[in-house]
Amino acid sequence: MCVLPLALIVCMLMGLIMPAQAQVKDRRSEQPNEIRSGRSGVDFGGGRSSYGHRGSEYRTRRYNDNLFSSNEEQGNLGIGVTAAAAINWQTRDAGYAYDAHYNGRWGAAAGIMVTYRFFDWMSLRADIQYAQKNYQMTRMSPTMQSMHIHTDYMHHYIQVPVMVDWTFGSKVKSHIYTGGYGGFWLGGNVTRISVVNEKEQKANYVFSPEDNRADGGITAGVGVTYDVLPSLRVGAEAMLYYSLVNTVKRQPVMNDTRYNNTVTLGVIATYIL
Amino acid sequence: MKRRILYIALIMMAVTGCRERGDVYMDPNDPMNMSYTTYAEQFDIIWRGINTHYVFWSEDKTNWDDVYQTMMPKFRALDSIYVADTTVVDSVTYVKLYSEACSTLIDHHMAIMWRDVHTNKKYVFLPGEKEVRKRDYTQGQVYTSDTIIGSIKECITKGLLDGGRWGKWNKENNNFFGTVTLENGKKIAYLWQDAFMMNQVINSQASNEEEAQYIKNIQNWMKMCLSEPNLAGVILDNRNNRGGAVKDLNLIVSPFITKPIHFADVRYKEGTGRYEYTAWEASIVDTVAEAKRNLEAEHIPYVVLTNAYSISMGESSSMVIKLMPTGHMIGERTFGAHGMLINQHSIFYNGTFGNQNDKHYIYTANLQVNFTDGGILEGVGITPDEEALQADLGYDGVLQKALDYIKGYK
Repeated sequence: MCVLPLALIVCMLMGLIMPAQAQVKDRRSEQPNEIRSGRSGVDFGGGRSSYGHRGSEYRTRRYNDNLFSSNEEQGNLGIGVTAAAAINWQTRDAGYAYDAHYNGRWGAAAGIMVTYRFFDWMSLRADIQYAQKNYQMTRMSPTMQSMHIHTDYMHHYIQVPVMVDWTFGSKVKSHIYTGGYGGFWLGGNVTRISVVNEKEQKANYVFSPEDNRADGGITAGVGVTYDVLPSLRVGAEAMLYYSLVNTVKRQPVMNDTRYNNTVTLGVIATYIL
Repeated sequence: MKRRILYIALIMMAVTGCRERGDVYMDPNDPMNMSYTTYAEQFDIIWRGINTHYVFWSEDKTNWDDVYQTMMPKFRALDSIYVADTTVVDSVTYVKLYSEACSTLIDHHMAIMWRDVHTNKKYVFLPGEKEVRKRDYTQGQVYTSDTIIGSIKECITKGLLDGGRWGKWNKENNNFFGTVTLENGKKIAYLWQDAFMMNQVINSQASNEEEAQYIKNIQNWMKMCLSEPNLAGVILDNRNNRGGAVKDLNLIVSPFITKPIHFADVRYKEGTGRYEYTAWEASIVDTVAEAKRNLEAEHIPYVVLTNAYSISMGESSSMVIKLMPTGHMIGERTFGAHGMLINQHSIFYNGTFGNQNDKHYIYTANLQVNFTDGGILEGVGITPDEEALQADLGYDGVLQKALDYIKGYK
């Protein structure tokens, strides 16, 4: 079912990168030693220095010695840490549970990341992240209006997003992230109000044979970073993790689909090596 | 740049198309489900209802998807046979198909009732009873209340019971209160009843003498248990007790304990998924402030008698008595129908569905019960402390075992 969309993605990614590389080559051939003013780069054109006129002397070296790197004052490799608040909601059908409503619920996420800059305008970034994918089920049955019945699910995931970081700007950079992620459902906790005795109870989530603990999907996000020092970059970012893996294993007759959607709003600190 | 942003947007749109759409869950209680006209459609509706409303999928070894895939062609074949010749489809084949589909389901409360889509003839299949009849110690017999009543009368004749009174409630529920006097002059209080409706009846008005006696039997048994100074023991005979109100534990257990008894945990569904269970909730029998007697302190044994047809509350109450400090369970392994039934479809997303007066009705439990002693015993039954088989000892022989236990209690 996903073959066509995936083929489309591959084609588009090819289209996305190939013209960019072509542009680099074009510029190399047309203006190999161009000296530019110090205004910040705002397009995807290959190899504008982030540090204005000082970049001019480096640009020649860049084209000759290093195909990918543009800014020689900063290294290509960075490592960092992230911390975020994460809101998750499930895309699912409540079916005949007419009074059940599935709402988003906040949690937390944190991780470590590594980034490698291929161009000024493009880096590859990979994270190892712990993320909570929480949601809440509330019930509004006419027979239970006074009972405030709800069940809070807190699910723990470990996930590895791999993203292309499309970068705009120099010292203050804007980022658009696109990529995919794979993950694993580690476990969960449940806090609920019983419909039988209205008491609150807490319990560990017990996996069923139909739970699909593998996770994966696409991720996209935006961010802004500031180079506090040449080797230290801090910033804020918002990411969407759009799961394409059903949390319920496919059943032959009656297929149940429940997908997680997670948005993280967080901060990032990167040390440029 | 605009081109690239367009590409990114298109990629995102393409990827979102990778999410599969799930099947739509029907409400098993929707009257629209009764509009089918073929055998295959009927099986499909019943299968889907059980698929979501059955509470034991975590324990049941039945592969329900396999059942669908195996049985559906057979029901379609039945439709084809009917189309070719309306006289050919016989009820034996029809019933056999449902028996084949549902016979391994462990819910021993379960009753599958359906009507022939063409003739409207009613059929009922009871997976639990089928299993119990196969047990070696029942030897294919179905014990009835009438058999038990005859046996109790025989026990009186044989002198095992001093005598007693028979009560009848609503022309169909029976109870018997009797006493036993031991050689040392001490007494035993004995109560048999074929259903648990004690709270209900003692708070009701009797409409005839039999019903008045039914209430008196409960009150006299309780009075004797609570205040007889020469009490040697208590016997609650749960043989052929087909169940009833869990609330009755406040009369048969609470007055005799000083600490609450956590006898089980229960869970139910809180979503439409097959395994979408709640967390386990504790089922506890509490103590009462008044009208109590500490059987443990007075060293008085409390014996409960069971047989293969002690069903539901007839079993769960036996389990609770078994857990009492002086409790002892004698008899046969019980029926195995522990899942509680609560008639609140708006609260639970599982349990009984359909309509008894329409084309199908599936009676099934709401709550899964996990006993603190023994775990989930649905479809298995509760094994007594001391086995005493009716087939070997007779009804009176089992009662004799209880009397011997009380006499020899140290």
